[in-house]
Order: sequence, then structure tokens, then C-alpha cells
Amino acid sequence: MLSTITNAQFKADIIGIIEGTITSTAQLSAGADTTNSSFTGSYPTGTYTKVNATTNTFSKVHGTDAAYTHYFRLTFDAGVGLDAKWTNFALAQGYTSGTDTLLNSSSLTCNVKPNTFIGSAAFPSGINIVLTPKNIWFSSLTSGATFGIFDLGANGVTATYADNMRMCIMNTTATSSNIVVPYVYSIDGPNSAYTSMTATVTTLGNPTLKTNTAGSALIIENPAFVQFSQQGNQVYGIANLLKIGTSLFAMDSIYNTAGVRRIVAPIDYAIVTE
Amino acid sequence: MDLQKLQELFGTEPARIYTFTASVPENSNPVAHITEAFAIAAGTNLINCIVTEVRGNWLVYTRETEVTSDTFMLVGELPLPEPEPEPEVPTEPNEETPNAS
Repeated sequence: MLSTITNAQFKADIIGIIEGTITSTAQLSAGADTTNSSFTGSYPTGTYTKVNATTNTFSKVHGTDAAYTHYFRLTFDAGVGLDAKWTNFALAQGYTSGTDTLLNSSSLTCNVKPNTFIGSAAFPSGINIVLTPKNIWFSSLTSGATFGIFDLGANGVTATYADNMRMCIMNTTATSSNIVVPYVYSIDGPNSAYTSMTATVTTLGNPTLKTNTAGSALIIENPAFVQFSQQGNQVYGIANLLKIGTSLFAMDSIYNTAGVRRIVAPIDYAIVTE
Repeated sequence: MDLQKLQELFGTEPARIYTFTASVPENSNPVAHITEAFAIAAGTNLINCIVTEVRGNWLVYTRETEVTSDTFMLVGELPLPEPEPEPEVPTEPNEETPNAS
């Protein structure tokens, strides 16, 4: 972003990218630093729909199971210029359009501010936005914030209790209690009920860097999961979130695996971007 | 309502639990109806809460919002205070026990 950016421009750029009205640097606001911005890949048409422009509320269709649509909302403050702030990011199981009310929602405080481009070769920084049919993820090095919404896989609970959510909101900077699913079914005899659950992402093992016979380094990527003890340790796969080796890359680094880009979160997770 | 049971359900993050004291109109979605009533009580639709039915009671769980309303009665706040450890009772010296010498 340029130092001249306004609150409205900051907001319009982020919202426009999510809803797909901004898919090239030429469409960014005059306050964006177009010289140092780039777009790769194509917009995931049909996944994200803005349902309320005033409260910046979107619907998101599940990437593999279109029967599930959940909602998210971005809240901004009224800060001026570089002091503008995206304060809150909420995920909801449902939404009532007439009253613009999120149903069964949880949120995280994100506090992302615009920043002028830092052109260090090692750490070029701005705001990264990943949009795919299975996840939406944001990172801001200068704001110290990385977070997103990821699709969850199906399991016995989702088969039995169809209102059990199939998306989570994740703080990819925190090392514990970093996943929240706002509305899931707790199984506890007569006390069973829908509730929100918080957990820490789990992985099968800690990957290590390996080389093949040609001497090429292979970046081992393991799937990531979340499990809830309140559901008898039901496990959900987390779409597009991969565990990589410890301290392989700095945050916001980008690498390719078979031509598909990944971007690295601060705690040794990679986000699939396409 | 047993707050300990509710803490087992909702967890130990700081939050408030309210019970919805009015009735839900027939043919309406209880979650939507109660959420909208809660938003009105809070004075804003920028709220985040969970509406769930536990043992026949409609509860609202919220980490952020505090309301004062006849329609929403505060059940309690989480987390519950840790139980205080019971004070140790000093043992009386047994007069029949001979002193070691």
C-alpha cells in the first residue's frame, strides 16, 4: 500500500479481491502499491458471494460438498490512512439476510493495518490473500497476523448431525488453541448439544527435509487435522493446510510443488494457494 | 442449570451464558429468532454468539456481548472459579505415644 491509502481504499481492495471484482493490479485502488503487487492463478468463481456490503458479509460454499454453505464477516474500524484497521474476522454457521445477523458465529481479533511496501529481498512484505474453493487465508507480516477459514472433511458426526459445521476459523500464528469451529455437536449423553469448540491443529508427524537420488531436496508435506475430545475424538482433515519441516522457510515464503504454489505460515504450515 | 455441566459443554474460555426466557413463535427457526432477539437486546447486529438447546432450554453462549434484558437471563459466566483447596487440619499430638529418647 502507498502512504496515501485511505480507509475506504484499504477496505475496498480487500473486499474486491474476495468478491472477485479485483483480479488484476490495474483494478486495485489508487492507494494500493500496484508496482509491488501481483495476482497469480484465477479467481475461484462461484465460491464466495458478498451477501451484505455494509457489514462486509460473505457466503462461502464448501469446496467439495456444496450442501454446506457458511458465512464470514470482516469488520473494520474508522482509522485514517495507514491507521485504518481490519479489526475482526468472524465465521458463522448461518445467516439471516433480513436482519443481517450471523447465526452461530465465532470470531478472532485480527487487527490488520495497511503498510507501505518493505522491499527487503528476504522479506518483501505486504498483505497476502489466498483464495481457493477450499480456503481463504490472509497474512500481514507488519501486523503480525495470519489467519483464515479452511474447509473440514466429513466424518460420522457430520453424517449424523448435518448442522455440524464443515469449516473452521484458524489463527495460523498461534501454536495452541488455534482452531475454532463455531457450531459442532458435543456428544455427552443427556447433555449433548451443539456448541463451539476450540482445539489445536494436530499432525501425523514432523516432516524432515529429504533428498532423492538426483540430489534434489524434497519438501515433505503432511496433512493436518483437528480432533475434538467432546466428539469422542472425531477427526477432521483440514483442507489446504499442510505441515512442513521445522523452520524450513520464513513466513510468507512461497514455494512450488508440482507447479502448485504454497505460502508459508509462521508455525511451519504451508497453505495451498490454488 | 448446572454451570459445571455447561462448562464441560462450552469450555473454559471467558464467556457468558444466557437463557432465553420468551417463547419461540411457531414455524420460526429458533436459532434465527433467538439470535435476532439477542442482537436487538445488544443494540447491534455485529454480534457473535451460539444458540443451542440443552435439556429443553435455549441458551445463548457469547464471548463478547453483554446484554441486560428481560428476555435473556444470565445463567453464569465462564470459566468457573477453581475450587479452593481444603485447609489442612493440624494433627493433634497423641499423648499416649511415648517420646523417643
